[in-house]
Amino acid sequence: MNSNSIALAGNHESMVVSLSKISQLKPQKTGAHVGSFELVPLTQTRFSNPSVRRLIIESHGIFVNLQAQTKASVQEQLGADELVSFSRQYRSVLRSACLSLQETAQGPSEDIALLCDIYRGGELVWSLVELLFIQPQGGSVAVDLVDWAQLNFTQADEYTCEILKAAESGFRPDQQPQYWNAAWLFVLSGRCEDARRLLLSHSRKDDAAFRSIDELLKKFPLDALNRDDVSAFSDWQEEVGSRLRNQHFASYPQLETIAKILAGNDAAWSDLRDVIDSWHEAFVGLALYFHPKLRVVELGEVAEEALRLFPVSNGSLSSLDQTLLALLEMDVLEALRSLSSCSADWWLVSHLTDLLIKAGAQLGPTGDEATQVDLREFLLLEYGSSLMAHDSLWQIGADYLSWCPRNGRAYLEAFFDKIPVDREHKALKLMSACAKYQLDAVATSVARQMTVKLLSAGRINIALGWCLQAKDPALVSFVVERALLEYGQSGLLGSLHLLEHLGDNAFISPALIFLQKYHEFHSLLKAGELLKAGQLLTDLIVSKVAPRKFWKVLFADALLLLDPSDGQVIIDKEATYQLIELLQSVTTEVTALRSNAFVDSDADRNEFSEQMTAFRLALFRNLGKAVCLS
Amino acid sequence: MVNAPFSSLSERAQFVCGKVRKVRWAIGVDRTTAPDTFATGTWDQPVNDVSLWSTTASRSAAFDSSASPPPAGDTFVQLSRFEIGADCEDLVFATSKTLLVATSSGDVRVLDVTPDQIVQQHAWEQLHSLGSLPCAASCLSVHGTDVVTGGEDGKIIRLDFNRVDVKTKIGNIGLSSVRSLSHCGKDQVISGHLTGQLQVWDLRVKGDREGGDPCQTLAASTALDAVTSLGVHPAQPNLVAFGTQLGSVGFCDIRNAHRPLPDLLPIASGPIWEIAFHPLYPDNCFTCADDGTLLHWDAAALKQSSFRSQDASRMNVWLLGAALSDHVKLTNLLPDQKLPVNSVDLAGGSVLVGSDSELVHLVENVLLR
Repeated sequence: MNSNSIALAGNHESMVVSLSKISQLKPQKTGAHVGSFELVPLTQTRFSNPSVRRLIIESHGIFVNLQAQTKASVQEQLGADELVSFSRQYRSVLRSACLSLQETAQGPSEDIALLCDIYRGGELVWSLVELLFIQPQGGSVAVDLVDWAQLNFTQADEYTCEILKAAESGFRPDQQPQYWNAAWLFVLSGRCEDARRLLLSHSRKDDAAFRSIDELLKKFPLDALNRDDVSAFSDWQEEVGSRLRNQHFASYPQLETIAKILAGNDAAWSDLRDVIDSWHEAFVGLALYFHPKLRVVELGEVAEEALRLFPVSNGSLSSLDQTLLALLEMDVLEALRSLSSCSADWWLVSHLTDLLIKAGAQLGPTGDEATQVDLREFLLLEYGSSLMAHDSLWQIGADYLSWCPRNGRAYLEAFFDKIPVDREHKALKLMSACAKYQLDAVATSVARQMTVKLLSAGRINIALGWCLQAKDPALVSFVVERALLEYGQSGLLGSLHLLEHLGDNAFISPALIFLQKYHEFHSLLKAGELLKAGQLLTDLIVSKVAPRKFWKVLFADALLLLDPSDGQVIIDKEATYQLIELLQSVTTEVTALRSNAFVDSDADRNEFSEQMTAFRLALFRNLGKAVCLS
Repeated sequence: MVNAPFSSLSERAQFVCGKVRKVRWAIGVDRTTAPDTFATGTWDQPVNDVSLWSTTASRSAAFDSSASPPPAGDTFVQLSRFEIGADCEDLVFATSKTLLVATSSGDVRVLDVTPDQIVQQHAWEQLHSLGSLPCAASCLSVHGTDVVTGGEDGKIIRLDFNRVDVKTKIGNIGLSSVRSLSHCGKDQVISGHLTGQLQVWDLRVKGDREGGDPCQTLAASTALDAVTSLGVHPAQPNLVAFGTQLGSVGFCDIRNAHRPLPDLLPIASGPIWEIAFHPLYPDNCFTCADDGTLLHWDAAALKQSSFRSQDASRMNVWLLGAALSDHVKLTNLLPDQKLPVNSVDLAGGSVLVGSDSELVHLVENVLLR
């Protein structure tokens, strides 16, 4: 028989899949391992890319500044200028991420190319959002679109670069295949000055037609639009129209096309059929020359018109196109929805939504404030979560989660619990973060994990330090009892310098107070202060605070004090009486009730009984001495 | 009150991809200006590394044509790199060509560092462990050929640079985890612990097999406030500055430890990861903390006697307690920093900084008096 077998193993970071071929089931299962592979979420590898990492970190800085500044401003509302400034900062880091990806890509990589496309699309969308929703309104929409085109539509510039390069090698610019395409694209984007310059490099630039178009381009009244001086613009278009009708450009069909565009003449589109790749390129020209007075609400219609003129090749719009259309139709919610489908991760949507909400953009039906808040929170939680799942981005992820008022805290606690605490520096970092976000329970958990790890390794002295950080009385008591049992016999308790240093912190657990006092007892002994030591020891025994298994150590210590070489009475009469009384009850418990509370095993009970007998004898002898001396 | 930085400061920063745990200037020829190269060690990455960087090399000189050039606009050029796997916990230049790294797997590695490559000369492996599990060698200090390391297991171990087999244990079993360590003079080492204590060790004392007792134990802060960093005054090695887990800074004179320590100065809301006196201008001290602050402490003004009482006039300015906190000039050199700052190193008028925002900053023209 031959069958395949799959084994899976996973953790929060990745999953390993292992394939084997089983050749025999009986009498023994035998087979061969075919292969294994690891499945890692794409975000893990993507976030490890330096350019992406840098984008994440830099945008985090911008995000935090934005939140802080908003909170600190009047009525938690930032002005348009400040919002534009933040928007530009975001766009700037997005652009440098794109450039950095291209520069550092080691050889062709599908993922890198895809990411670059996504980032470029992101820039396109973001700059449009800035234009429509964040910039202070006023001024001509058409002019804004020209700026937008200049920033994002670089095809004409690329063509111009090629032409210039060729010119350096001695080729005539106007003979380059892309010459006229570049000129038309410039004109369509409203970049008449650039178009003019390109045309001046034509070998026939002194011909009448060229001089005519040059003059028209020079007089292109973009400012007039901005000043809302529509009549100046229509006069200029009239001029273009009349020159067109008077056959000024008859000898150069390409120039005629330019004139048609400038005049707002529909015939231009059929000429440009093979030149224009997508509706974006036509859109700005359509708005500028055909609908110069357009208002923001009309953008959607113009976009639809552009799409009708230049429909998409395979019939269905890409997510990016859908996003742009939705934005132009002022349907922000729909735009964000489409944007999520064409994004690599939650970075773009979450930051954009946060900014849009601060700019007061209407995301849902009017009056539905809850949707806005929920949407922002949902996206930030998703983004923050994706960061938390990564090895080293947990600090940044935590920050994002902390800015989610409703569920952020719960997410923070859940994620922090999952972060492995395998070294002390990490534990200290985590605890500092817990203090920052006021996650006391998690801080306790971290300290507990460190304590337990140290206890399993048998390092109780170090565990003692960490259990205090946990602020958990039960844990402290547990560790102290272990410490007493471990070190009590060997006398190493004396070297636990920590115990001199506890101060009020000892009050967290009675066991710890006992340990502290016991350490003090040893210090007094070492310093030769026998009377004080004796008094302290008696108090300790009589208070019954010590763990029962430790009492035999205390009795042994007391025995030494009762039998000093110089015959001195260290434990006085009253103390001796107290000890005798206590010893009586212990003896009853051990002999009559056969209790094993004080010993480790049945076998040790006899030894303990003998010790108690010796102790009792010594106590009576001491009593006698004390009475005689008093 | 913390001031904003002077406008004459110039700051350069570069993304180095990897949280920077330690930055160290290479040992320069001229102590008044910053050297051309520095080293960084990263932490919390799947694979951590130690790298050598140049602040001045031009890109074409540093790279041969086969390697891909660094992105445009880089201020520092990475010259060489060595993978250490586990976190870098501490980094020290023992000589101009030798770098010692303490890692979170308990190793201390000795690396030969040149602009072309970094090669491991030898390593003391698993110096620190918890039973069978490795644990971090948290801190290192080097003085001549003497190397001392402290770890999470509470052990302090003395090594000889030139003799791989020599390992002496300092301190006995009762110690709590060692978070920071520094030589204060040739024969003395001071250690800072998780439980807020400082212990001073005399290296000349031959301990028993278990190590021996410290010659002094000082209560730097409380038992819940670890001593996370130590800095020794360059001219007076008995004067030690320390930073704590809860964001306080303290100063003490280990010769007069019987006197109560001056009060702690709470200056940050997170652990102080590094504290250092300027090697040439010791009236200037620098601290970097988990809350993103990088503070320049300028105590030069306190030299004027008008701030000091009669008996305090001969005391070092850093030990003035309340007078220090009232009159020291504090400047935050990185006011925009959001993420923790982990390490600072000083040379000439230049301050080198490493942080969890995966950036190395170089702040130049710092005013030092």
